[in-house]
Amino acid sequence: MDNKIFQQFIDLFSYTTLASIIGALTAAWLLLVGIRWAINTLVSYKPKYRIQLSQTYPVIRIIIWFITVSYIVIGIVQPPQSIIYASLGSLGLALGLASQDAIRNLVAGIMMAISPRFKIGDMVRVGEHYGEVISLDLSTTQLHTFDDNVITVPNADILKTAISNSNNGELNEMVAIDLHFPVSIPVAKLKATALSAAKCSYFVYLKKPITATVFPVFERDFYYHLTIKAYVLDVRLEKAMATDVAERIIEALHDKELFAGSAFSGSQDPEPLRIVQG
Amino acid sequence: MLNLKQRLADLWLKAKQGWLTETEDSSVALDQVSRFYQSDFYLSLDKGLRSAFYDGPLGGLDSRVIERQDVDFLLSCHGYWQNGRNVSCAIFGEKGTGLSTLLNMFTAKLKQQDQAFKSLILEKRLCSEQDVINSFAKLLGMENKDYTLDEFIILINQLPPCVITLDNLHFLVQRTLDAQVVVDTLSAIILASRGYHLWIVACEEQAWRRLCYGYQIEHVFSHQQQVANFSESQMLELLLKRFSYGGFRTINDMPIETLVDGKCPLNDIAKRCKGCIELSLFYCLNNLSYGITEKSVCIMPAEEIDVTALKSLSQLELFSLAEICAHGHLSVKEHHKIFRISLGESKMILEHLRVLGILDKNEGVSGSDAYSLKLIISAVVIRYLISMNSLY
Repeated sequence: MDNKIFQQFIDLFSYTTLASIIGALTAAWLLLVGIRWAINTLVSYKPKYRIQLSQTYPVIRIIIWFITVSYIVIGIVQPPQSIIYASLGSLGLALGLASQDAIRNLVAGIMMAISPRFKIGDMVRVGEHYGEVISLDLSTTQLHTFDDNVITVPNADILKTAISNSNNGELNEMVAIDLHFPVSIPVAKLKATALSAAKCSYFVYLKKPITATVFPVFERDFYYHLTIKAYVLDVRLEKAMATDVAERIIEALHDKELFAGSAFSGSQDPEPLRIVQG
Repeated sequence: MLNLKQRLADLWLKAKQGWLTETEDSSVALDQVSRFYQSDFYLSLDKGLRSAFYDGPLGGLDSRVIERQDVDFLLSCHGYWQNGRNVSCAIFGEKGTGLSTLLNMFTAKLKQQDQAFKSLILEKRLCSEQDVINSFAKLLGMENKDYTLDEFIILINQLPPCVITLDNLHFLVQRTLDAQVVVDTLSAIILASRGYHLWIVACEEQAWRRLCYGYQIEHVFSHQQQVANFSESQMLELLLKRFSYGGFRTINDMPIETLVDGKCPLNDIAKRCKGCIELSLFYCLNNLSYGITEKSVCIMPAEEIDVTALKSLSQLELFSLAEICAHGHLSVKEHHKIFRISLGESKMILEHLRVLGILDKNEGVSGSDAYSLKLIISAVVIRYLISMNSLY
């Protein structure tokens, strides 16, 4: 019985059928390459809509592959029902046993395409890794970190892990900049100067609010922990903005001579932080 | 097989050449646009026709502010104020919309009604609280001395009640530590004298947006109105008026073969210039030839503007343009302070943008050179900066 079905299965694949299958797969692949090129071209023309345009590709790819595979099975191969059931059963068993992880990642990839937790262009933290999502494949997701590394994370792991998404589909995102200052600086002046300095940075997206919080911390000595929260114009400029704002705040405090008698002032206090031997 | 391959290659080459020729022919470089009034062709034009291309208002005939409702808005605010309401209002619009003309039209109406008014025009960037007070004291003709804010508010409320128009509010925009103080001082003066005086301010749109996003200045004004740029039909009407003012007819003698798909090139120009009168005049001039009969001109179908120069700009140059749009103009020193780069680098960036035909260099108030966006291409540049996410 099994031999008969196997023979029927082999008979389905004539040279013409195989050529048609290769043709269909090539056409689908070329179509996807074309769509990818079109999306990239559109992104270069309208960077403002980078995230919205990029997020369409993973969905389009799944749809096109689904249509292609369906067309090959139903339109080209046209197998009888008995072969479909037998093939599906054998294929399922073989694939299930041989590639559990791969199938798990694939299923996770499909689930993520249906209800996405993040999109291409989002800044996400997955476990220890933080970076921009540059690719959402069926089995893996790739992140581009600020160290210029590309991290590949299996989709099954992403489904299991808590994800922090900084911008959630928007180009701007909130950036928190933490700085420590000596307690000799009056708090009100520190906050006001920090807010004004942050507004001076051309990376800051002024349409959204800027906040500053200060609280005292004790670690060997007292100091102020200042957190400036501001939105950056483009997620890719996150580090540039953080550096720019921090430098501007320090420069502004120097200009206002608020560092007198602190570690920042240099020679006036030679021992601002003492290391206590245990 | 070889023949087919050869034919395909030929076809591809032909198509490619076709596209290339099309793009080369149908675009006008940015620097060409910005040299509009220096071209030999313009200078050789008939005197009457040249006046049609004058980039300012030609008297009452084609006032830059066509929409009467903008003047009506200011007059209605004036009416509210006369009825005792605490009113202050702001008008804003794109560069070249005609805000100053609108204020002049409004003050002309006030003159007819014998209403006292003061027209103030900011001419330099205000740097501190004292600078704001001193500048306004000078503009309002007060005694030249250093007043405190409280003293100044008392004094301004002792002046006879009047309408105070304030133009060039973009001078409040700055990316400095004292920007908040400057805006707060002006806001305090306006709020403290609101109702007693009627304050009307005019500001370029990008500067207004920056002041609202960064410093919430919109809360100071009870009434705000965006002055819209010319619509397509208004622009067409204005162009026809311009040519008839110079004693020329345009489309009456237009040869039918110059019309593409039966469309009138002037309609196309009115649509393409997106409300910018300078750009529409450029399109007309660049596609102009004398008609068959005397005192007639023929406008050929207009060509697209080539923005390749903008596409080649670095991120810092794009941000520089965005800041210039918001500030109105920037000097090398101001640019150096905003971007925290050396003076040499700042000068290099600004000069590069000037050579590309995007910026104009004029002498600023302090004697240093000030770089501003060329009015004729400002709409094109602003749209590009917004699409590149450099401006919002």
